Amino acid sequence: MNLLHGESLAVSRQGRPILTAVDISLNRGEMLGLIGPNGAGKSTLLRLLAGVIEADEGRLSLEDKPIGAITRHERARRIAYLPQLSEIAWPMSVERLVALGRVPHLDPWQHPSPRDRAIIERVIVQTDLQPFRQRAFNTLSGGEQARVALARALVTEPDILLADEPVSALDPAHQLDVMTLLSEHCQSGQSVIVVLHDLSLAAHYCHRLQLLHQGGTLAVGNAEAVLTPENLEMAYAIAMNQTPEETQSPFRLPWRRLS
Amino acid sequence: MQAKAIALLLILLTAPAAAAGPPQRVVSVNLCTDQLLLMLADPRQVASVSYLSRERQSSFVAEQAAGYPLNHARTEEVIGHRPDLVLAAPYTNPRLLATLEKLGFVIEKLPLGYTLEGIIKDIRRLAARLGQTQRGEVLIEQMHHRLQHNDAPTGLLSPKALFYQPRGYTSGANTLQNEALRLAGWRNPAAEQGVEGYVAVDLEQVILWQPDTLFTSTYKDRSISLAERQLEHPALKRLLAGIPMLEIPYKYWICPGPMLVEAVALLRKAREERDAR
Amino acid sequence: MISAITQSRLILALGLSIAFTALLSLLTGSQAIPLLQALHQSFNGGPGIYGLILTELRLPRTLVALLAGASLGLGGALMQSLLRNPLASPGLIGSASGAALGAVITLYFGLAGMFTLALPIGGIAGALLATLTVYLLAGRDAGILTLILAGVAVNAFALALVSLLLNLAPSPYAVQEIALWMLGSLANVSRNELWILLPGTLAGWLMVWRQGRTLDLLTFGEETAASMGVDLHRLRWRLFLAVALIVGSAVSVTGAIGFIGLVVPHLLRPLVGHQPSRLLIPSAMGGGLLLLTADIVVRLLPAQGEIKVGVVTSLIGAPFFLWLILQRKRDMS
Repeated sequence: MNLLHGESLAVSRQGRPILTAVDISLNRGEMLGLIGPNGAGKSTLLRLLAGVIEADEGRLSLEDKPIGAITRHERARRIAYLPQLSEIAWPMSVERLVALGRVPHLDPWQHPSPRDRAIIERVIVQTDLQPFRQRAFNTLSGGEQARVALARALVTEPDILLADEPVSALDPAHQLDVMTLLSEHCQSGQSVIVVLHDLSLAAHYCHRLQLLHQGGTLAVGNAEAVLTPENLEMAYAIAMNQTPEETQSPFRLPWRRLS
Repeated sequence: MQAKAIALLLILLTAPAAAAGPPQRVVSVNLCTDQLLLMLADPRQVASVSYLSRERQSSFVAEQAAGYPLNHARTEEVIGHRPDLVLAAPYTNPRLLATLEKLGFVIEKLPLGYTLEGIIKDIRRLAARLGQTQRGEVLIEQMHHRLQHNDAPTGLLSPKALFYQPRGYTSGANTLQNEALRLAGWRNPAAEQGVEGYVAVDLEQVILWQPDTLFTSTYKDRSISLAERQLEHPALKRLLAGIPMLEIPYKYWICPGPMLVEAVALLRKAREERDAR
Repeated sequence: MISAITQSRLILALGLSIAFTALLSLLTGSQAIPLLQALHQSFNGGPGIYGLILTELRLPRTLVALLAGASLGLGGALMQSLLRNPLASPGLIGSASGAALGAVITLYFGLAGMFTLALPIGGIAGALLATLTVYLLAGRDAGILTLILAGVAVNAFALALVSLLLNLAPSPYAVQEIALWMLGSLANVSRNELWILLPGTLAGWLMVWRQGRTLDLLTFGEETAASMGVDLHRLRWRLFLAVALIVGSAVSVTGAIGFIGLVVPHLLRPLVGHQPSRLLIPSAMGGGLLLLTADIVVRLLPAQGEIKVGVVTSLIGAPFFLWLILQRKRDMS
C-alpha cells in the first residue's frame, strides 16, 4: 500500500493547463525528488498534495483513503508543507515560530504538553537553531531563516513532508545540512517529497526521482533511469557532464559536511 | 428735520417711493417684523412679507400671510416690490440693508425687545410709523387684559423651569422665554445663575440646577437627530420623575409680539397643574 | 532582542490602568460633585441629583468609552493580523466610515425609530460592505500601498455620502451633526446607547474567541496556514463579520473615532513578542484605555462647547501614523 497515491491529477488556471494527468506515488520511508525545468508544474503538484489548491481532475488518496474524506486538521497533522519562500509577517522569535508547528496537534485553547515541548526542543537542536532561539526572525540570515522554516515543518512530525526548493537560498554546507535532515526524517518511517533544481543533490539523496516536463511526467524511477542524457535534453535542453573526466574545466561537487 | 433730510435724499436719488404720508408699499424681510406688520397695518399697505411668515410652526399669523407676495430677503426681490418702507430686524443681513440704503430705500429696523415693555415699545413704534396708532393701542390693551388677572408673583418658593432645546440650548436672561417664564410665575435657574441669551449648557449643569420641569419648542415637526434624542436622555426623565416635557408652540415666543401672552397662558396652566399635584 | 514581558503581567498592568482611569472618569465632568454623597445616592437608589449625574451620565459614558475603544483596538489587531499588514485598521480600510454611513441612513431616515437595534444593524451592515469593497478592490495579497489607496477611495466615498445624506435628512439639526459622525464624540451618551452598543459587541467578541492560534498561523502566509489546517475562506468571513459587528456597533453610538485601531495594536505588538494571538486581549484593553483617557482630556479642556473626542485621538494618532510611514520608508531603503 502506498502512503500517498495520486492518479491522473490535472490542474489548469484560466484555461491554461499546468498539470496534465500526472500520477505520483510515495512509499513509507521514501524520499522522492521532484525535478524538472521552471514551469514544469513541480510547485503546483506540491501545493496540490499539500491541500493548498484542489485538482480539477484525478484521484488523490492517503493510505488508500480518498483525500476528501480526511478532515482538514488530520491532513494538517499528517502532511506538512514547506513553501519555496519563507514569508513571515511579524518579527516573532525563532522559538515561538518553531513552536507554532505543533498547532495542528492542539485544540484551540490547549497549551503545549511536555511532550510537545520536548519535540520542539529536539527539533531546535537538530536544526542547529539554539543560538538564535530568542532572536527575531527578521534579524536572521537567509540560511538561518530557511532552517527556521524547516524546523517549523519538522515539529509537526508529519508522515509526509513536502518541501519546495528548501536549499535554493543556501550555501553548499547548509544545503548538505538540510538534505541530511530530510533523509533523517525518512529513516523513522516518514516520507519526504522534495523539489530540487540541483540534480546532483537529487541524485545523491533521493531514493527515487520524478522528472516533470510541461505539466506531465517525463520519467520516474531511480537516478540512473531518470537522469539519462535523452531525458535531460528533452526536459532542460542541456547536455550534462556525468563524470569529471569528460571535461577540462574544474568540476566541484559538495559531497559531505565536515563538522 | 430728519423727515426733510430723508425727503431731500429721496428726491436726489430719484427713489421710487412717495415722500409724504404713511407708507403704502411696505416690505418686511424678517419673520418678526412680518408678524407685527400684519397685525398692525392695513392690508393695502403691505407689499410683501418673508416666506417664513407662512410657516405654521413659526408664524402666529400664517393664515393672514397667505394673500401676500413672499420674499426671501434678497435684494432683487425687495427692489422689485418698489417699497416705500423696508422693515428689518437688528440681525438682518447688513449687506442687504447697506445695498438698499445706497439705492435710497427707507429702512426701519425694529429693535425687537425681549421683555413685555420692549414688546409694547416695538408695537407703538411700528404703529406710529405705519400711521396706525389706534390699532397699536388696541393690541396693547388686549395684551394687558389677558395678562393682568393672574400675574403670579415670583419668589424663592416658586418652582423652577428651564427652556430646553435640542443640542442642549437654553434661554437665560434677556430672552423672550425668560420673560414668559417670569410672567407665568416660574423661576428660571439659568437666568438666576447669570446665563444670558440663548446658549448651550451641558447635561450635568442642567441636573444641578434641578429644574422642576422643562419646556421645549420645536420649530419643525419632530424629526430624528442626535440633537433631538438628547431631549430623551434617561437622566432628564429621572430628574423630572417621569413628568413629560411640555411643548410650547414655537410661534408663541420666537418673536416679540402679543402672542407671547399665549405662551404665558400655557406656562401658567402648567404651573397650576403642578401646584395641584 | 525582543523585550517581551509575560502576557499576564501586561494584562494585569492594563487592567489596573483601566480601573484607575475609570475611577478618574467617574470623577471628571463639567461640574464638580461631592463623590461620597454621589455614591451614597447611587447605591441607595434615591432621587439625589449627584447620584443621577454619577449613574446616568458619567457611568454610561465611561462604559461606552471602554467598550467602543476596546472594539476599535481589537478590530485593529484582528485586521492587521488577518491581512498581515501593520497599517490595516478599521479607520483605514473603510469599516469605520462605512459604519457611520450605515448608522446615518438608519438614524436620520426613521428606521432606527422602528426598533432599537436598527441603528447598530445599519452600522454593522455599512462596516461590512465598506470593508469587503476595500478588500475586493485591493485584492487578496494586497501590498500596503494598494490597501491604503483602496481604503482612501472607499472612505472618501462613504464620508461624502454621509455629508450628502445629512444635508438631505428631514431633521433641521442633521447638518450640524456631520462633525460628530466624522470625528466621533461621547457627549451625552446614556444607558440607552449602552444597550445599542452591547449586543453586536458581545456577538463580535464571541466570534473571535479562540481565533488567536489561527491568526498566529497566518504569520507564515496564507498557503502555509492553509496547509496547517486553517480554513481561509471561513476565517476571512468570520473576521470580517466580527470586525463589522464590533466596529459597526461602536461607530453607531460614538461616530467614527480615528486612529485607535491603528495606534494601539502597534504600540503593544513589541510587548507581546509580535505574536498575533497574544495581541488580541491587550489591544482591546489598550483601546478602551486610550479612548477613555482621550475622553477625560476632552472633558477637562476648557472650551466653548465640548471638543469632539475624535479630535484628541486624531491629534495623537495622525503624527504617529506619519512616524510609522517614515519608519517603514527607512526600513525599505
